[in-house]
Amino acid sequence: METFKGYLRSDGSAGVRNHVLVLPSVLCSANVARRISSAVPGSVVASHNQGCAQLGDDFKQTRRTLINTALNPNIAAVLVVGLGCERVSPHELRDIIQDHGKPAEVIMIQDYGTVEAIERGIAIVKDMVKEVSKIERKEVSLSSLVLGMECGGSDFSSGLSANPVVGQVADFLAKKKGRVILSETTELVGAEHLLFERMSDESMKQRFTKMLQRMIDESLKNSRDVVDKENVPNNISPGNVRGGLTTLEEKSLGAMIKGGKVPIVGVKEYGEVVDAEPGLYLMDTPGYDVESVTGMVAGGATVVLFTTGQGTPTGHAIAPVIKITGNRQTAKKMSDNIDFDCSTIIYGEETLEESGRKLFDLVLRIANGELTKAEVLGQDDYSIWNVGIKL
Amino acid sequence: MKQAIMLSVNDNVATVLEKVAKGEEIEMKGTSQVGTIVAKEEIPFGHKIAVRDIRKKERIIKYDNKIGVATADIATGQHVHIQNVASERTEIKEGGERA
Repeated sequence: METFKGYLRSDGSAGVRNHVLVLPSVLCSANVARRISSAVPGSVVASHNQGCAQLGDDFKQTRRTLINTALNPNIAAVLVVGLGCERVSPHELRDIIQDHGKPAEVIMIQDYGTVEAIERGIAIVKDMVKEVSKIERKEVSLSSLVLGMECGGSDFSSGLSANPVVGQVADFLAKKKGRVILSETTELVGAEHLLFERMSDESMKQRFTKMLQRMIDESLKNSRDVVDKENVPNNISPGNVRGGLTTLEEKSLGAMIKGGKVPIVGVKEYGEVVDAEPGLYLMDTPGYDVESVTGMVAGGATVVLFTTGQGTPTGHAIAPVIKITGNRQTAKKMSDNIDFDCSTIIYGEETLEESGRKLFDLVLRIANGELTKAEVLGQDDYSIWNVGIKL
Repeated sequence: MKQAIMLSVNDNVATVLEKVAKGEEIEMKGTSQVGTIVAKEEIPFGHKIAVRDIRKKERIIKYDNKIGVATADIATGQHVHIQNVASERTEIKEGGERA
């Protein structure tokens, strides 16, 4: 299968969903935004707690992430909900979204108060949902797919099965000229020598080194703390430790396989949109799952492949999140949350490639409109990585 | 017999595929270079067991790559985890002391 049925956007990109997005510019307008969205099924909300009292790179990162979230191909139209006095400009957000050919409107709470702002917002969003429902899915090339690769709640099984299976999907998609994003900078520490080998560009290597160093410096400040009376490493979670992971290097070596063997064509800042060139992009994000996924979705990921050992309910407001585990106990205990069980390869019941083919088929079905378990359960996570002190 | 998986012949640890009690014999999957190993202590599900003796400050090798350094001597069959391993990249300062 060389195509999937997606929603073609005016900039030539293709979404796998056709959402109307209610986007608060700032924490102060998030409650109103959530109420508007909850009144109109068919809309989604990207509720977050950034947008003001931020400076420099921290502010730029929030602004970039909000803009690029709205520009994700899964979004058909946007209502920006502003307060009125915040640092992120709601009117500027609307203008940029419109300049990219996407319908967008803005309402400001300070113009009306909560009740009227919600009423006006609902009126706008219901019209948008009706309008975008006229857009039909069309056959588009697999090269339009952008996958975000994530792992969370990792354990011993992640590096043995789920991450290698996801790596197979990365390799399959790369053959079809698609794009893949690998994030979680922290979880590349200790595996960087294997990634450097796949970079041709010297400046790319330098940017990657700088990204890694920031995480290493933070880790060294506070290497261990007592959790549940045990002295555990801080840069991996207590659940990782219980699940058999001992050091960050061990976790990273298991995690980086999610990018398969795809040549690395770019190193991106958090929430920065990937280029048109097919291949693997590394994005600077924390290992904190929802923030990492949000960065990749802002970067253009339309489907997220999320491996988990211990299990997690994580989904995303903008993109379907497919949950994959290699831990048979987790697949059983958390069947509500797990979309794909690849523990078969640990026990020699299936080959890595067989499991990878099955997962690729599932990715295509999800791209064509089948819902993930996180979508069915309304798991609409969204969180922007905050890198400064708020004033 | 209970099983553990070794990912490379160069590895000095293996991952047990079920909980192993002290004294139980474990069969190694993934390579024929190492025969069976007897667990010197309980090894929890998914945790690592030493497949040969490892000296303090020696590197722990898994996936044919270094994953940390031993902070104590570890005997074949012992549990290899945070109590006897530190991250070389994020826990060890210059001079070899823990951060």
